[in-house]
Amino acid sequence: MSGVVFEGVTKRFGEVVAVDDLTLEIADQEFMVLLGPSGCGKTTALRMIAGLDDVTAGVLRIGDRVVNDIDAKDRDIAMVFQSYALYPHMTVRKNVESPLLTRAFPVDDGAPRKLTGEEREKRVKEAAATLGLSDLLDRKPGALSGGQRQRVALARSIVRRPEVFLMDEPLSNLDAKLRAQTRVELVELHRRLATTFIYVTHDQVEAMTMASRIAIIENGRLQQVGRPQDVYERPANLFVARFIGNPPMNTLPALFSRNGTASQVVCGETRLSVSEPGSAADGQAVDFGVRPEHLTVAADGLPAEVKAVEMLGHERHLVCDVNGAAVVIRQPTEGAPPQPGEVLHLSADPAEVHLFDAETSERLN
Amino acid sequence: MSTEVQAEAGEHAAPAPRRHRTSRRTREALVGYLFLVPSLVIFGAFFFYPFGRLIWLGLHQQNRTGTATRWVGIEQYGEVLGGEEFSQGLWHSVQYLIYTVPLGLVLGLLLAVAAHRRLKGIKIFQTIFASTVASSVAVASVIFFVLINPQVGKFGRVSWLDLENPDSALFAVSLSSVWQNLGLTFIIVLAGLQAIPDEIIEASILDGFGPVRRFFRVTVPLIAPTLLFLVVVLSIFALQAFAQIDILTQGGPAGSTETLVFKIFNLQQPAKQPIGSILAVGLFGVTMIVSLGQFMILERRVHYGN
Ligand SMILES: Nc1ncnc2c1ncn2[C@@H]1O[C@H](COP(=O)(O)OP(=O)(O)OP(=O)(O)O)[C@@H](O)[C@H]1O
Ligand SMILES: [Mg+2]
Repeated sequence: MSGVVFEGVTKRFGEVVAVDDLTLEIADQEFMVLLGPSGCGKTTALRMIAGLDDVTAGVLRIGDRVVNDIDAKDRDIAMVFQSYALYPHMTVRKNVESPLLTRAFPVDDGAPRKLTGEEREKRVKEAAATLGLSDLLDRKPGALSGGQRQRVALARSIVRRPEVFLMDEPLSNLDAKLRAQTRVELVELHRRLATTFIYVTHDQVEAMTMASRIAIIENGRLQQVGRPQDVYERPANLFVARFIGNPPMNTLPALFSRNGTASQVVCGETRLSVSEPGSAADGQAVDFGVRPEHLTVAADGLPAEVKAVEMLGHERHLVCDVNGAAVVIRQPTEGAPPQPGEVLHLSADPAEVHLFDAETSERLN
Repeated sequence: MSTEVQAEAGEHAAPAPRRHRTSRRTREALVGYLFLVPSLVIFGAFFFYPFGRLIWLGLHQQNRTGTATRWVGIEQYGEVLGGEEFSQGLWHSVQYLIYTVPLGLVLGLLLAVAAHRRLKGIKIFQTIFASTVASSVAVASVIFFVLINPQVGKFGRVSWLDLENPDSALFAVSLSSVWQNLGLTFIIVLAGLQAIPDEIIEASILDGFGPVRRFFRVTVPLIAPTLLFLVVVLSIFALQAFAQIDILTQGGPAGSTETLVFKIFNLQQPAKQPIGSILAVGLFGVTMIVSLGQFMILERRVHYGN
């Protein structure tokens, strides 16, 4: 069992900086999700932990050990690849058994040694039972469904009880229903194994539902680390604000004005009050952000022309136009929905307004 | 065809689209056959007709000028295929196959594995290794001949490459074949290696497989279809080898390099043609049996990935 620490880690591929000065501490037994858009360097970060890519600069630790110069095979980690990377010519049994073939394992608190065929078979059966694969052991990967293959890949990684699990978008090939089901199972697996999980995804729903903490990365740079709720409630900058949440946070350019104790943002002709202005200064140009669920239709406020109404059953989304910017409002499905073309007035919950510096995009309140 | 269409049309309420569909299917079939005609003509002219003629010749005797033939019947096949000429030629051909196929395959595999890595300038080596593909059998044989020439050759004093000695001549010729086929084997194996997903190799690294275990447990099984293909092709090459023998030894010394093909070639005088034809039919049979046998034995052990 051990954590993973990045200290100023950079990875360059020629001119491309895939990971840029990453400093991140992942605690023992944590479920850390690396989240970011495609190409932001998530896989590269994971591959450096695995030892499949070497570190250009900085220090990488697993447990107390600096692993910059330690071979992949000598690190106690297991990885689930996005493509699963199962051996197509081997049965499920052989696939799951393969990490046990060459390594020494402590047996019954004795000195580590290679496992006998019987011991291996026992562990394979355990791992297979954990993941509901017991009936599939003699099949080859070609004869399995996507979800079953993904389980085999998981079984292959848990069978050796590694210090750290790495998973690279393991759910991306599954359909929506199976994905939701597997999310729950992964959280359960994490609880049972009590090991460090480092999980890469570009899907914020996966991150929000499974992570103990989320690290949001853009362009190789770490944007924010925190518990899902913290990241959602207090995004550190405009990128995080827009990336987390579905539909995403509405952001509009505005001017901040402080008038005695009353704080307001001025957006076009409209003034909206803000209850926690933080460090925003009078007259400062800001981007003010408000989540779709914190906007309500009121007698007066921000004028918004309805463009479309999306019905989701339990709620509806009004897509509106405010001074040329798209703004989304979440409403319970009560009463008749407004018609496209109608002009509404929106008010924002003053306690839920986010303020970002218009120049640096950093959070102000 | 037309009566069928009419009968159907009578039974159904909406005959028009049906008739249209049937006639379109006929038209499509006609177009399909039309596309097949060129290859049928080529196969007919250069394979089916000569093959039929071979079989026919084998049933006859011919005079010295080839102007008259006389029916002798199927017994001639039994005599020739049971005779010493055939068994000796076949034995040389089989030896040739045994010398060339495994050695060529292993060397090609080693070269491909050596050249399959991400290194600067590796393309240069890949080009060099593949270069024998671009040289003709004649040119390659002459180069080889010079290399092992006792007077001027770098390898002129190597006893097991002596073309003058009946015990070593066939092996020396085989070696030249191995070398000539190496480029092709190399290219095909390299393509097979490059088709293996990186992630599978990386998974095996994380599973703790060393290079040797990885090679035999992961790499070889994954390129097995490629290797099977090469075994079949190289075997056919071996059974058909002619030019290198003609250039290096002309079947000598003491007939020790007379493979089946070479014997067939030597029997191309009108009076002997029927015997040559029977040998050729025999070679065809042997080649087919060897190829089918390889497919049946190896295919069971070969994994075809999906
Ligand atoms: N082997 C490589 N050589 C050159 N550039 C690379 C290599 N691997 C990754 N990159 C670049 O590094 C950047 C980060 O890539 P990475 O694969 O880590 O992204 P990612 O966040 O995993 O994206 P995705 O969600 O699409 O998988 C990209 O710009 C990519 O083009
Ligand atoms: Mg990736």
